[in-house]
Amino acid sequence: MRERNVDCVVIGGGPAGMAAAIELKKQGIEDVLLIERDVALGGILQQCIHDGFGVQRFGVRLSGGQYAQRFIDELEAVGVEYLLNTTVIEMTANKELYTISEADGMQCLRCKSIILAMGCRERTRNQVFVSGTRPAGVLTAGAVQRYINMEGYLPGKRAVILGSGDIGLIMARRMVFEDIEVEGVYELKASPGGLTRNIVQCLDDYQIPLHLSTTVVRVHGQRRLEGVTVAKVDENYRPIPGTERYIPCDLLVLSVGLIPENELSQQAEIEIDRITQGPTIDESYMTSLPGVFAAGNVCAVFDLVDYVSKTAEYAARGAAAYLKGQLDMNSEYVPVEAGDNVFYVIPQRVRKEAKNFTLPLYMRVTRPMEKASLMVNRGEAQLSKKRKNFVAPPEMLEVEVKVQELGEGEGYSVGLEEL
Amino acid sequence: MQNNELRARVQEQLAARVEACEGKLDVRVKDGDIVVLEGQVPEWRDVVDLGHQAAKVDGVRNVVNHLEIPDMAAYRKDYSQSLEAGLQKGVIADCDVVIVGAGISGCGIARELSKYDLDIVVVEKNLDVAEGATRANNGDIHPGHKAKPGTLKARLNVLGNEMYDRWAEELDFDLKRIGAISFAYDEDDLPKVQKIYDDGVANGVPGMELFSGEELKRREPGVKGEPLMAVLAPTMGVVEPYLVTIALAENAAENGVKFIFDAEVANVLIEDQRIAGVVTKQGIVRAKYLINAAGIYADDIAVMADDEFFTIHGRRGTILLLDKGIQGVLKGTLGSVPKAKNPDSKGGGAQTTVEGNILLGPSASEIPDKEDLGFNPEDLEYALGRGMDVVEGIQRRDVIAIFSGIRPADYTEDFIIEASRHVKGLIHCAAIQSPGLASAPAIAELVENILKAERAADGQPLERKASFNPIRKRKPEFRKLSREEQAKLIEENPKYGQIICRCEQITAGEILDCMDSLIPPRSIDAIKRRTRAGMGRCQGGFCQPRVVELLAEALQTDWCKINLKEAGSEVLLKNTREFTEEVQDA
Amino acid sequence: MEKKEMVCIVCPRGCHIKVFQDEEQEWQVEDYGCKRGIEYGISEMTEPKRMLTTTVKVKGGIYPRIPVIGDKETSRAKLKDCLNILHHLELKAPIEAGEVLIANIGGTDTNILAAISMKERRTLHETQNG
Repeated sequence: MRERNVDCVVIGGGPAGMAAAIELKKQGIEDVLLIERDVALGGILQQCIHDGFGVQRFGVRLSGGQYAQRFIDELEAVGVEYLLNTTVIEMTANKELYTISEADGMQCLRCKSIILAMGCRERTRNQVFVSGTRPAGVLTAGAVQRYINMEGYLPGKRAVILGSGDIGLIMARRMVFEDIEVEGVYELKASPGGLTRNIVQCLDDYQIPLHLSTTVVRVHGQRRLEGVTVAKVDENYRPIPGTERYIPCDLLVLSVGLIPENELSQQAEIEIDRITQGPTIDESYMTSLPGVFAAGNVCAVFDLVDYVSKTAEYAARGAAAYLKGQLDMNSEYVPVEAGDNVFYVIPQRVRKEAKNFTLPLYMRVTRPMEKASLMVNRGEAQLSKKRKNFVAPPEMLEVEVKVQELGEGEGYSVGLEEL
Repeated sequence: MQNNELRARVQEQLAARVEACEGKLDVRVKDGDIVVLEGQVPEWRDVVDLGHQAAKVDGVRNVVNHLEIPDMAAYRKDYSQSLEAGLQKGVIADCDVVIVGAGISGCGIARELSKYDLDIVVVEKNLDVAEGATRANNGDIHPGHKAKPGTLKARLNVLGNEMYDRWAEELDFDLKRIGAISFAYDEDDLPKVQKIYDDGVANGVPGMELFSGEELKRREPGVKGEPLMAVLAPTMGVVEPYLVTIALAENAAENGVKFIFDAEVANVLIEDQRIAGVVTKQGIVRAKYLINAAGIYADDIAVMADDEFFTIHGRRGTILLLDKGIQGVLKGTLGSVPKAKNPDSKGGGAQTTVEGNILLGPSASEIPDKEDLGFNPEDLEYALGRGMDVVEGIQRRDVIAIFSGIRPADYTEDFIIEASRHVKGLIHCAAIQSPGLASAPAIAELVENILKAERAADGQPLERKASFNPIRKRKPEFRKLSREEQAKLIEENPKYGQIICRCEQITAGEILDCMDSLIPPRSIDAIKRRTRAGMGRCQGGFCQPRVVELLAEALQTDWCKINLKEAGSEVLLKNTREFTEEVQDA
Repeated sequence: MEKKEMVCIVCPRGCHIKVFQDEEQEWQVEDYGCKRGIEYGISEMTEPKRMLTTTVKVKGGIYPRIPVIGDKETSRAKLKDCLNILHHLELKAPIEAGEVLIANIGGTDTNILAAISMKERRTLHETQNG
């Protein structure tokens, strides 16, 4: 088994991992190693062939591949060392990583610091408790995307989409282009799960109906999918008897949410937030394990890749500061609390003594608001107040707060007030 | 005369139930002790209840239940296509023994008989072994303490449990003895705990133990609430049932048994009142002895052999598999006894598996369609409750997989393992519901003894062959090795350095290895059962395309021909734009 | 003329804009957040355009298909025709990101570009040696 000491290992070569590795170099950290399990860099962007990426960061609408390519080019330019086809099979609490690959066999990497950038995975049919049989033809939206876009195969001819998450909406349009009939999109909740622009350009453009407060209650067919039964649900998401409707179809596409991938984090006994399902992080994006930082969808599921890259840069700056001994490792923490209409917020905590720093906050709201003011407080003191239009649960809110003074109160809080 | 007396007794004892459901019932008796029920009742529940009641009548050996519900015809299996295909193909094999069904029973018997100088053919309607009841159960090697004393089940269960260590050693599969605990929260239910203990002792289950609720809390700190009393059967074991079956089949094949898949039996050939063979979808297999291990369709095989004396009804059990992330909340098997207050309570519980997942369930629903694996919300809630109600720390979101199995039960709710009374050379091994897995080694031995006696009577005593090798080795399992062993394995075969299934850490090496077998996998699920690829939390979301690729390469076929499970369950239909071309051509 | 309400999708902000023709038959847009909203609203009413993206077969690459994208938006009505043209295209690795694969596809004035660079597939042995 090969052994190697590394200053910082980045786990994952998607948008978060690449941005983190580049930023580490820019921060003067030379000994950086990025590990990617796939045959190429780019992560899930590789299968996101549609456009709409990078508007915030680059001011243009790129396709997923184009967005990734910009980072791949920069990563090569700044000389980040990376390993492809390499999987981290274990992370220990001592920051050792065991990796395997065909080319290099097993390696043990002893890391001074680690950036977690493993991304997220899709929830499956079993996690939303759809009853019925288990035939072929029931796939997650990401799997359908992989089959159609990357492999060039069609998994069905008449599709029903359960869940109005963005990948499902994107795939609705993609399937229409492939002459797969998309019967409709069914959403359990009373409001859509995906971004408005995706509803407009993926469903409305092609007259695909979106049925809110409706779900798939049963899957039919022993071998291949033959149909599904949908039903309306009440406010507690219980199917309403008598509203059932049978829809013949041979493909059920599930777009029912994403879960941060934190199996490695759990192995190393890193504290996981019950709500975000990602590590609890501080203002330097450090997890509960000193020297281990988290970036992008590992922390919480983002709607925009631009934010993913940005959080990765925060994490990289945190890791660089840690490696340079500039990070206060003895400070106590104060919490960042989710206030009115905030479902969750990251980072979840801030060093109590921290001052003169930028606090990048990302949050999701619980209910939509037309016009709202977003306020960040420390104790009674207001640190920031910003106006936000059209806030809704599918869209992550971003606010950067400059914290100059040592505040009076104990903890931070973030809340929205409807205007 | 005797027939008439029994008929009257059955009619009398079933009268009230028939009246309650406003059904119409005719009773016949054949062979002196076989009751045949005919007529119309409104619901499936009525069919099953009447079957069970008839079986309890004094002097009844078994029940043929032809009672019908209004849409019954839809549930009857049509063998005409397989029959036509098989007759067209003609004779494809001529052997001594044909075994119908490659479940745990069929494969166990095949392996047991492969030590004799016999030509053996196993015919299986699916593309793989263990595709029926064997596949979808908890993997329990029950101790035998819950079987009714005096039944065949009770005897074979206790014996089979004991024989498993040897199977595990010879066939190299994992067997963990985790112990089974049943307990009660209510004073009312204490007699049930006592009864389990008493039955266990009566059945000869070793090491039965009764203890207090506080003691239970010490042994299983995850148990919820305040249990009053518990009973432990320490010999409870767990296995992965399909891996046991694959091991048996591989060892049987190694010892000369031939397996024919996609070979549904459509008719049984009888010549001069004795077995002459079977017509399968793949052609005719001539044979002198037939072992009916056909699971839920064992009754159809009996009908084909003109030896109908039992009916199989399907009982669906739904099981939930939880994420490995929460392992640790439970050590063994834990179930509260069915509550006296709740007559619909059906058993099941929470338990750990060989791999460290937690399983909840099974539920139990009687179903008219023997292939209806579709679970209902009630099944899910029931199975969830069996875990969440008794163990701390289990949440709905821990569920990663839900699956159902159909258990083949007759109306006496006992195993049927015997030579036919009418047809020479026919041995039934039917109604092998729970604890069929635990009993499998004893079942195989019993069938072996029956065949031995038959052959001796036919003047051809069985002879052992010197070449029999009882040992079968498993392929490397990457995740179970030490880091050093893993490193060495990748050096020897770099394919072990490529992870295909992220969740379960299954490598390309393992997937390629499992295809190099006498019983090769031919579907995505078959690979999943052998290697665990796709069995984790993402349920194949990431690895399925890679598995399809490897399988297509191994089978030298197009991706669009790769099945999820049985034939006709393709995952992919066409290449991109091919629908468009169809549209344009039209 | 009645004001047509729509959601501007140029950026994630998703402004709810109103588009209508005034007395001079000139297109007017209200409630836009930025100038791009005006352009979007008018183009949606006159000739709606969308970005063309798909994947194209590629031989000898690390993947069997490569994602491609138009260099500008294409008339929504012509998207399917363009997809059919691209379906019959077969490329050979290596391909550089930004390479023009088809110029002026289907007479739409859109050039089709490779969205990413596609490296050649190499065997394990070749990878180890270089």
